[in-house]
Amino acid sequence: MSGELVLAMSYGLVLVGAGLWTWRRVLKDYRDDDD
Amino acid sequence: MNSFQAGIVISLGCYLAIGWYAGKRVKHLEDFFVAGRNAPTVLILGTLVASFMSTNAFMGEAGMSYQGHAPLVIIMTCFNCLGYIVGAVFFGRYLRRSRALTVPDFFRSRFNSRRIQVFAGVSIVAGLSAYLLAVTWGMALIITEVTGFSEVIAILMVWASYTLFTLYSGSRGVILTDTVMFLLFSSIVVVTAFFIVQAAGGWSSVIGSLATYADKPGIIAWHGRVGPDVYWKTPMEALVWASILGVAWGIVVAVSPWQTSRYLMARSEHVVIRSACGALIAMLLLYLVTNFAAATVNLINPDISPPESTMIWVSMNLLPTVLGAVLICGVLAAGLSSASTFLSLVGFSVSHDILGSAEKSGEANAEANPEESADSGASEDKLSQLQGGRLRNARAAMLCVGVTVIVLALLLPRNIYWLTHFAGPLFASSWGVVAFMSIWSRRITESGAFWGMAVGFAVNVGMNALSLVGLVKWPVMADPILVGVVCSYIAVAIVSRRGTVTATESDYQQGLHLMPSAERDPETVRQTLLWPKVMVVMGALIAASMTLFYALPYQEAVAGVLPTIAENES
Repeated sequence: MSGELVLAMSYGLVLVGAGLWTWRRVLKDYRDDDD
Repeated sequence: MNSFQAGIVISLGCYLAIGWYAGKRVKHLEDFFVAGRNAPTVLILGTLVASFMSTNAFMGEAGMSYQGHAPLVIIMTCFNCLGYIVGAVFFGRYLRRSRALTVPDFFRSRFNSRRIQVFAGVSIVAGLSAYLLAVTWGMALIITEVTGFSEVIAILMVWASYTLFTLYSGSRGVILTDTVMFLLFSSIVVVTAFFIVQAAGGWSSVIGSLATYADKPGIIAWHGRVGPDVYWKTPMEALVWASILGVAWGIVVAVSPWQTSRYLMARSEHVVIRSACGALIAMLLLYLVTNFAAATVNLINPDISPPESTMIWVSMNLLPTVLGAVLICGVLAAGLSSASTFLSLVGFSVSHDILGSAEKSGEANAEANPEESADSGASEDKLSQLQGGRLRNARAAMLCVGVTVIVLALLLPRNIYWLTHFAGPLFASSWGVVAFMSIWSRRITESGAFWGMAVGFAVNVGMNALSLVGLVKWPVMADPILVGVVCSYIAVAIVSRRGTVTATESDYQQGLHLMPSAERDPETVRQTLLWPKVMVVMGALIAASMTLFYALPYQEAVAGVLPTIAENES
């Protein structure tokens, strides 16, 4: 796999990963009983 | 008056008009300092991005990309933009929950310490005044180049425009103008990128030409230009440099006052999270478009000097006149939005954090929450007088700061690069560890927090000063930002171990983790969850688009050239 392909994929996957993590965090913090 | 002069005058007039409109609604101290704590997502998102992206993004970083290092800027952006999410989730929403008027005010409440508030206030004055100077000079340079106005006139124009609306409208005006400016520079950058690519022969031609660009080999390879004639000798060296600086600036994004103070104005914690998600998306897209466009300019004119003026050249020589004037206004808007934020924060810190006494801080909070004060028996008239007095003081402090900045801007020798390099990261070193630990650590003491801030500040300033006078050239692994952060943590750990956390500090820290019931509204939570969904979809689209329109065509172009080179050599 070339470096350019890794860069291209990583740039988008950073956003995907951050989105999934934020999704879980919002659910955990604002839907559960404890902060 | 030519188109550029007219565009600049009209845009400055518009910002003043918006500031005047917003200023009419400033009635209380909370309106002036934190925009009434009622700002919606779009305004917080706009001010987050506009405050971060100054003229440096469209001049310094675009120039770096023009020189062949766009991929490094892209890698850095990958890391530093994550600071939005980390900062909002682990610090920003708790900061908002504290209902402080300023970030130093939060530190005072958290550690029950006036000296921490003053120290944090002084570091804002030192760091952001320096940044304000750099941005003022940067904007004046642009105006001088495109209009022919003298430098003094340009400095005065720039200064007057951001000072007047900030002085009158405070944070209410700043977040409104920031958002207008964000929309302006974002849209014109996309339009400009389209013109640049068309002028260079269309996208597929651009990728093919840049992939095999002989003058700056590797200009769009994953590591950018490397070799003996540039700063980075090998691809790995370039990657390490971009990653470390990306992480360092990520801490800046997460804790710096010109970013986190925006969260104090948010209508709810959900607005904090949504705006951070939006800022991450916007920054990733804006940096991608801006820096690839700047690299592409090489195919139209490879001899722009200095490289920092790439976008100015584009506006004056490539775009239709009207669009060129709008691009200049957009670049100026990026600078003005940062400048207004810096000026307001410095003014708030002088009037509230440094000159205001401990009692006055409490008094200000009482003013900020008139209903609570009414409960405690204070009359409305007295509150109104207090509010008026504190507002006048805040404006007077801001005016004094503004006058000091204009005097310094006219007298000091220009050193835009160093001031930007020094002032931005200062807060990561000084505040980074203490900010996160103030929320998450039960063991950090008041002394630990104070010395952690002081050591981080001193190490960062000391290392930068040694580098500036040429005594030391720090390796990238020993970047002053990161060394400052590590030293700050060590200081917090050592000093805190020798002291005890008071009941007041402990109670306050625990109180920060009590979730307000209003934040659990299911409909509000559902709306917030839309933002991470958009992030996932956008991320997948960006990855697919970059693969299809950058990585694969790049590989094809390079593969096509390699056999030709081999044939020529044989």
